[in-house]
Amino acid sequence: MHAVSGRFNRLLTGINYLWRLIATGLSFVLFGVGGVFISIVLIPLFCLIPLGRQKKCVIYQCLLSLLFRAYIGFMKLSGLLTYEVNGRALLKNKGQLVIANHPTLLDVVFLIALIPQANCLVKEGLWRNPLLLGPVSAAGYIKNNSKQLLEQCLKSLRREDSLIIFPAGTRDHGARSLVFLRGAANVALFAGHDITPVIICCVPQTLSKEGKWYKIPKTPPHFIINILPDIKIQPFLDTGARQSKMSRELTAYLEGFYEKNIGF
Amino acid sequence: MHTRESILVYLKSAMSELFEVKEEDVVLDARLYEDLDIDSIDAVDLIVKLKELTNKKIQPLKFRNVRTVGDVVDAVYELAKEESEHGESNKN
Repeated sequence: MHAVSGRFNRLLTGINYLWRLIATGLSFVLFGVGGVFISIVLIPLFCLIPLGRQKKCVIYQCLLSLLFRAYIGFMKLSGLLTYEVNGRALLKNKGQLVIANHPTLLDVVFLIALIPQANCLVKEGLWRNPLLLGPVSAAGYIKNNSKQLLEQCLKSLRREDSLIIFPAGTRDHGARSLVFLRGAANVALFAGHDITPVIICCVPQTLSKEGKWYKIPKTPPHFIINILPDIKIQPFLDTGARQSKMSRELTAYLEGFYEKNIGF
Repeated sequence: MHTRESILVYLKSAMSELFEVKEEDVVLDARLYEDLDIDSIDAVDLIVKLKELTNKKIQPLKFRNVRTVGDVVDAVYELAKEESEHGESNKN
């Protein structure tokens, strides 16, 4: 009897694994189709609407938030992942500077879904990806190699767009310590803007920088997204140190803060 | 009159003070961004610090194509030379 139920369980696990593999492939296809749909249907249609570029960016940002919410819903429904969001109320203001660690490919999808309208600092490689070029340029996201990077980030916060930055620059899962670039700290210091920290954990690891898309974990990954109370920027400004020193201090502080909260 | 050597010595102490880099890492062929982790915002502080050495207003433009520590030394050396030549001609 035990042997039979054991075999049956293994069979179920096998079927579940196969289904998730197919659904994973399907999710990637869906993502691509979404990108193409925006590029060849929505963007041309939006061109007909007589609105300023900035207003259109805001509309696209809201639209991407809705689409990503649906996309995550699809992945949850198809059993690809589970997730929990703690402290969501801390993310409801306009013009927040949201800084998160970056373990997986889905982090940005989660954050854009969670914030109704946000600008985002993303790597310039996305502008060379034919599926993503349309959406990222329509939403007016900021390229990470832009010459006016800092100025664009500050402008975005002044307009009261929320701004998402991943200071690790690239996906960091598997590392035992974090190394942050100083850009995020510089934005916070120049803007004198508090930081809303978001801690993302994903167990078991999936969609990391190293893994291939079809190497899915044995059990569906569980995402935990913790939004913590703002980190105040004023104490760092009060030191009156030079910008180069302040940004190093804040960056070191942030690395320690995220490491502690991730549980390294 | 500043020599290239004295400028490098000054640069070593200035950069270790400003950017927490080790003095022994500040060598002529060290690249500012890749090797020493100095970005464009740091450069502003560095230029302010270099002003103290040359006693002269420094055009950030002169530092636009600076990539290595050696480039900074050369740029400062040129500036200092211009200044002293200028000083000489004033005396005459």
